Amino acid sequence: MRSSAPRAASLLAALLAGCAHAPAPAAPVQAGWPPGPMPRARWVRSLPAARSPEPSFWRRAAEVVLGTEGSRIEGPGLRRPVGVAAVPGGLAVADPDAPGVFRISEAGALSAVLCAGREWASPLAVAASGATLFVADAAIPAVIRVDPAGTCLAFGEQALARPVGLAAAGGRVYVVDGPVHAVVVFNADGRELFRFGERGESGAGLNFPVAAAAAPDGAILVVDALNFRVARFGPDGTYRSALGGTPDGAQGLPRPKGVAVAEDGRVLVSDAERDAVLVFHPDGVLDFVLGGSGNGPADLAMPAGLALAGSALYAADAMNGRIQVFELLGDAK
Amino acid sequence: MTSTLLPLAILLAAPAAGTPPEAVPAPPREVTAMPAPPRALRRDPRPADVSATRHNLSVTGTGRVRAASETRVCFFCHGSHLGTGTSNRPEPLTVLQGYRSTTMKGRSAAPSNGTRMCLSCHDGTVAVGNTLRGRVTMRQEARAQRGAALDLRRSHPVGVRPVESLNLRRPGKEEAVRLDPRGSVECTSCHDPHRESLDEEHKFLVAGNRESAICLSCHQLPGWGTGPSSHKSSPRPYTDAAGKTRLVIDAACSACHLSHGAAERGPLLRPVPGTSDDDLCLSCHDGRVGKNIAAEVNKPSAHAAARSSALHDHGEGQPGASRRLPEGSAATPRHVTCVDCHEPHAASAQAQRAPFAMGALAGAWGIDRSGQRVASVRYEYEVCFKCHADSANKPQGRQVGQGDPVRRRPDYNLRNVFDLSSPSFHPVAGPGKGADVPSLVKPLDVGSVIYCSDCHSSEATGGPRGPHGSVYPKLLAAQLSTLDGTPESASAYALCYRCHSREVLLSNGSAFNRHQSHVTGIQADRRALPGAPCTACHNPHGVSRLFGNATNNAHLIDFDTGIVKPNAAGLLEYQAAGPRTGSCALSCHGVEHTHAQSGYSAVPPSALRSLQMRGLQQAPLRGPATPAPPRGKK
Repeated sequence: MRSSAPRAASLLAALLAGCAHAPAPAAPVQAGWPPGPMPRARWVRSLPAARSPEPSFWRRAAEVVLGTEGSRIEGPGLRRPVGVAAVPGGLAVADPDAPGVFRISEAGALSAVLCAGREWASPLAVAASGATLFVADAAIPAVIRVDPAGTCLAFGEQALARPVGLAAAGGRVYVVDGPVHAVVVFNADGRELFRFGERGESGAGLNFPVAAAAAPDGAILVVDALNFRVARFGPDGTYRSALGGTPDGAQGLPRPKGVAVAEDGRVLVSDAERDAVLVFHPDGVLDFVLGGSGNGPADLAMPAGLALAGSALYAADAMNGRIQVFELLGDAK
Repeated sequence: MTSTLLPLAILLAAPAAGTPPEAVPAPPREVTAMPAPPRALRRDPRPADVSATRHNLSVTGTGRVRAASETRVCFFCHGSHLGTGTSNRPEPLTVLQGYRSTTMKGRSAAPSNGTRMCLSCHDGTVAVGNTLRGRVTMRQEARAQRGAALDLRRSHPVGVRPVESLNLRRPGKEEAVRLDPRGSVECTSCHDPHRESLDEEHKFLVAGNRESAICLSCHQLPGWGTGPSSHKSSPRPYTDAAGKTRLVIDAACSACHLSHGAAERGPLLRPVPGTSDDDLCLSCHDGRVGKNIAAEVNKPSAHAAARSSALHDHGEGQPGASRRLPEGSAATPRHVTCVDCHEPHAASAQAQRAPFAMGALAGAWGIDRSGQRVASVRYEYEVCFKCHADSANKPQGRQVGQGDPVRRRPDYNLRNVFDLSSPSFHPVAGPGKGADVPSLVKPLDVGSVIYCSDCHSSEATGGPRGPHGSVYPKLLAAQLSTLDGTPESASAYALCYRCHSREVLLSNGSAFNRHQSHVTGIQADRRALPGAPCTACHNPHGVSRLFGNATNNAHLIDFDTGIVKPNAAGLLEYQAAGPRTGSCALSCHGVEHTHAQSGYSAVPPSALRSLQMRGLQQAPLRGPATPAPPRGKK
């Protein structure tokens, strides 16, 4: 399950990072999965680019002399990114511990998404429809639409118990409401259209759904966490199929957290207990597993939300406080 | 004592410094004692039954959340361990972004698989801990609790191997609270996911947590275990974050600390609205539960008037700490918070008599007379010396306020001023030099020792004592005018008159028989000159051992050069010449004083004899015939 390459690379990076006070050089991390000569995915980089940089040796020396050491305040950054979505020009990230919603530019710069007169309480998921953002804030509870101009509209306060997942497609917003084991469908203006799902172990039954994604064909995939599977529904909420379904074994999803669907129909599922992203063929057969436990450059620690943009896979590396960028190497068509 | 002897005196005094002044008895209580080991919380011997808990997510579960048909109980958490999945995790995650503290000595360990198991559901998506509760309480509360379920910076550390210290013990194997087999604290140290109701609040704790029994299994704070700590024993009711009324004694640790969802900064403190480091303390000490300190610190002259934010560090001042205290640099921002002076785990309302630290200061660390750190203060002034002695960032001298007395050689290091080798001082660190102070109001006498807070304190009668805040400048307990020409009145110098009888001073019955004309300005020939404030001649703290001498600076004499000027001969000095005898050379309000003309002798022969019989003629005085050579001008 683990490739030796990333571990060796992270060891190298760790050794280099140990050099006193020198900025760590960009160690070439050659992490690819599955291990072997024909990797079908590789690690690209972590976002956001360098957080508030470590103070220089001289700055720290001056602080010791002046006695101001320790009074530095940490700059803003990601704490525990859980939700991620690809937006034009970069990414949008939901971080319930900051708590905040952020944009990350293609260059890797982090900026906060603010709503006038409103504070983020516990944003867990984010979805994009063009340049319009939808944010699921579990603690309000509500979905907040952030228009490109920056105006915000909250909806679903009455209809939702605890929105934890989101998907936007076809002018609709699919909101995963965990405690009631349902998906509530709104139009883009926040009017509830219909809902589907109820407590159950199979078929259309859900047990603590936590995330959703829209497939290119319009299907809605729902991460059904405590049924250890991903359930596929039609745009109208009719149950179609499922993948996973067991917490153990090579295909097992002991704690699935996020889902994304590639153009070629492959389904990517993140798992917080395996610290990995599982790539399934459209028919539900496991293709390969990428990632691995740790805090090295190519590692994951309790990954959550996933997003795809072309061949780029963005994984919210929650406990490492960063977004991991992988590239799906184009082979399967 | 001549200035050449002064260094010798310092050397001789040095070994004695830091020890209790001889004239006062030993402290009657000891707050640094290692607390007795607590009664260990025993593990509940009954077999666990997860099926009777909310963690039974199968169809047989008892909670609101359960499956429709799935019957396997263990499956939801332990399913992945049954096969080849992830049970044989080759390399556990080594670093979670967790709690950090400048006082934590524990070493990071890889969180156990158990901890990771908990976190994989308690991340806000599947299970949420107390965030849901926030939704049904106040909006502010919801914000305070946000992310509570998983933000490890706001939670008690997991994956940490504790290091035993004065404040921390490792629980034994038979105890309810236990460490992971690798010796680390994990979720499962305090929680048993298979037992829901051993604690009153059904939080899956390993035992009941009344009076914070679980916390105290490891945390042993000096003062909490042994002393009369008010926070440990107060039966007063307060309203907790969830709006529930509890008694302070029952809430114990949780009155101020939260094990999850705490404020990010500081030692797992309960989040409260506001940005000041003191907001948590003041949320109770605003008159509702404790005395109204909140009103005090909002007064014009106050400790915490600037409302320090994020400047205090709990590790500051400890050996090897990154933040030094006393501050070594003038550039370090100054701060003062409640916990700079008070150790909340040990503090009590116990009264004391000067100079011993009263219960309110119990357990606080301080700086002793010799400049050394003391882990638990014995004397009140040791708390004051933390910031008002050797700190390099004291504002005095950089900003002299209007009407502030101007001294020739000010020393803002009060350790030098109150040192027992100083020429004269108010008796804070030990009995004063004056052997003959007729103005003292009983029960004070020349052997008395006083607190800093006898003068620097709230001006309000009946309010909380101590130097929290005052409407008077310099945080004084009463008015003390320092302005030249102040008309004498009981209120103008109310602070001084609290201890020094106005009647005695103004009837010239004190050791200096011309107080009346100086203070009121009314001369013997009925001329009315401007009255001089007390501070025109006296420096209330005293005169530094470094800059003063016993001839020119006896009786706290240290002229305010904004009022008192050199005379025609260029002299500006006082000379003590024996008991109740001395002279001045200066110019004040246009009146020239020379030593020849200004000599006074207030000593009736009978009184002098009486003094000599009591052995007090050994006061550091010179004969009137041999005045000390005039000091050079500064």
